[in-house]
Amino acid sequence: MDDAVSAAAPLMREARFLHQHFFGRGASAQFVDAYCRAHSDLPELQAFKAVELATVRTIVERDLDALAIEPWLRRPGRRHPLSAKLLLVAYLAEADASHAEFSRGTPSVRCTLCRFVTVCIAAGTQLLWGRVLRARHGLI
Amino acid sequence: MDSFNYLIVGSGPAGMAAARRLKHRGTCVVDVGELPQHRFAHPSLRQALNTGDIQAVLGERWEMLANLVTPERVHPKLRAPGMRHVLSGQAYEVYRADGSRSLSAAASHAQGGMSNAWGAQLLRYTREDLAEAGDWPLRIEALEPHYMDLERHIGISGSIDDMNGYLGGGENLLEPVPLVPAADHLLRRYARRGRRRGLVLGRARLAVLTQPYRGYPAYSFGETEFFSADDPSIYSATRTLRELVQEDAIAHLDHSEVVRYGESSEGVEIQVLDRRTQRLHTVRAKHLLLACGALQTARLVLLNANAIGQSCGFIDHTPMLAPFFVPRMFGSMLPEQSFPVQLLATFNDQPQRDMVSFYYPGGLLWSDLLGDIPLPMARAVDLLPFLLGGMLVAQIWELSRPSRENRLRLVEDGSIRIDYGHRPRYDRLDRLVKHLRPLGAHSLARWGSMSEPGRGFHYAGCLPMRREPSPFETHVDGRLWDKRRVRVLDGAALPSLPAKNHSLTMMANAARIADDCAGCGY
Repeated sequence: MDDAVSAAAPLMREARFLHQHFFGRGASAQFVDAYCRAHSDLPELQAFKAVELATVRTIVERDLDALAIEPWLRRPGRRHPLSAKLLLVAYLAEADASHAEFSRGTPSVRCTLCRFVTVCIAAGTQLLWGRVLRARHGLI
Repeated sequence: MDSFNYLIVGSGPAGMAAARRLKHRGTCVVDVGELPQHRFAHPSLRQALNTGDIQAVLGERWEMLANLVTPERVHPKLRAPGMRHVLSGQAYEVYRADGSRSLSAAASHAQGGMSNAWGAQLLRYTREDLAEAGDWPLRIEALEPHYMDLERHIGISGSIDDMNGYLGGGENLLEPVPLVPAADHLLRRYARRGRRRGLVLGRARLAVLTQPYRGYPAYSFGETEFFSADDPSIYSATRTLRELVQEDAIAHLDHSEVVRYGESSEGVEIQVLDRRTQRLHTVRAKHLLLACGALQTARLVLLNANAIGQSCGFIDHTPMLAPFFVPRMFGSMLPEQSFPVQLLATFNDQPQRDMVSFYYPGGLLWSDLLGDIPLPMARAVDLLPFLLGGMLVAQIWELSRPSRENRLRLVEDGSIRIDYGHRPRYDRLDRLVKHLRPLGAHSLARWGSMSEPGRGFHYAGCLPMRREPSPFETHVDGRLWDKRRVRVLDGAALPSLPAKNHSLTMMANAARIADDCAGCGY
């Protein structure tokens, strides 16, 4: 039992880390549990190259901006584990109804041009920062 | 031993179109008949998302995450638990010209076949379509009465508009499906500009009931098309099968697979495997009509001819996909109800009559789109509510003709291998971009992506109709080249594919062949 808990600890930490970076707030226990269950049930989430999984560990351990780095790790064909894990975070958040970011019924006042411009600027800045981080930490 | 006048193999659209023509005539339909193992528990996607039902949305075994690591491993429409039964049949693999594998999939053993997952676009071919496609050994007049009959049976929604010349028909249409803001804007701008040389645009023609019809309710437009296959308001061949069985108009042997047949002067002896008991039994029929889907029909014919290694032609209808953005509609309230296919278009300033379907991605999970947006995912999520109201995806088909390099063959283990040496490249996307710009929809040609070989799922040309068929071809009346009593009804018999969706034509052709069979005199 202790072995199982300690084996799951890195994955739980990873779930909380990625959720924090994605949404700017902590993850619920249910979310973390769902994240870990998905890894247990989907063997393809474990079957990545060691060097790529090491990249994910480095990002978590050094508290780097995972969302900024991820676009620079994308490639055609099989996804990088960071991309797959962030997508998992997105799917879980979209399905659990507690993440307003995915709300489809939001009035359009939220979708003003001003907000659009703000988000675009934030996205561009974050992308540039991600490129710097990737180069600085040698992430592949 | 069971004995029938007509034995139809397969309960997909071609088989059921034929069964309607042969009802009350000693007809039996044989199918494996896989049914959905799971039903989507919510009347709409929005409700499912609002209740936080993770298992309903993502599947108890995370089925909706099938493409998490390998994009497009499973077609987006076939991931959900309620759709998994659709592709549970014969395995096949598609290989590119360089020998790498493009697709590893399975044909359909589902009751209703691929009509469980189609986009419900049922369109007529016209004389111009057949002339452009070439190789069709029959005239459009032979199909027209069957088009009308099928359309009345199914219930087609749409509109008489500028696309009518391209689409033909248009009798007894139900109201068209509701438009999302971007599509509505596009159509209004098009109408204001007046019809010009270039793009012709109009409403989609769909087998979707926008009002009660023949005892079936109107569709609820709950955006569940990617999660569920069993809504009677979107036509699938299952509806016809159930009607015919209920009327006692046909016999139905389900959980059964035809494995071999042998023709004699009196009839056809068919070996049928009962998949529940794994026992073979023999059924007799005066005529055998093969309609288990192009791949499985071709496989059955090749197996029966002991033709391991023999190759047949293969046609796929791989579309080009391109996102279009309507900036005037950014920030629109996202509709609570929608249907994926919104508009249809073609060109009137070029010889090629390409078909463009415009889709609204309302029934997709937003997470499905994040990998394609070149931004940090969290920022992409921030932008999607703003962008989606002004977004459409164009799916473009062009004429598809056989190529010597695209072949299907039977491998030693009985599975199907498709070598796709010639991959078409659509080179007219910039023309569509140019024509849509004045209507307020924008894209870039480099955003377009061509589907991989085998992923069109409009398969045809394996046993093509000819006036004088060679081995592994069929007569115009559907008979195999060397048979009197065995006919091919499904897409395997179609010799080429015009740009338009071929489903309704495949059904009309199957009905035509069934009539010919009934009147053959033996």
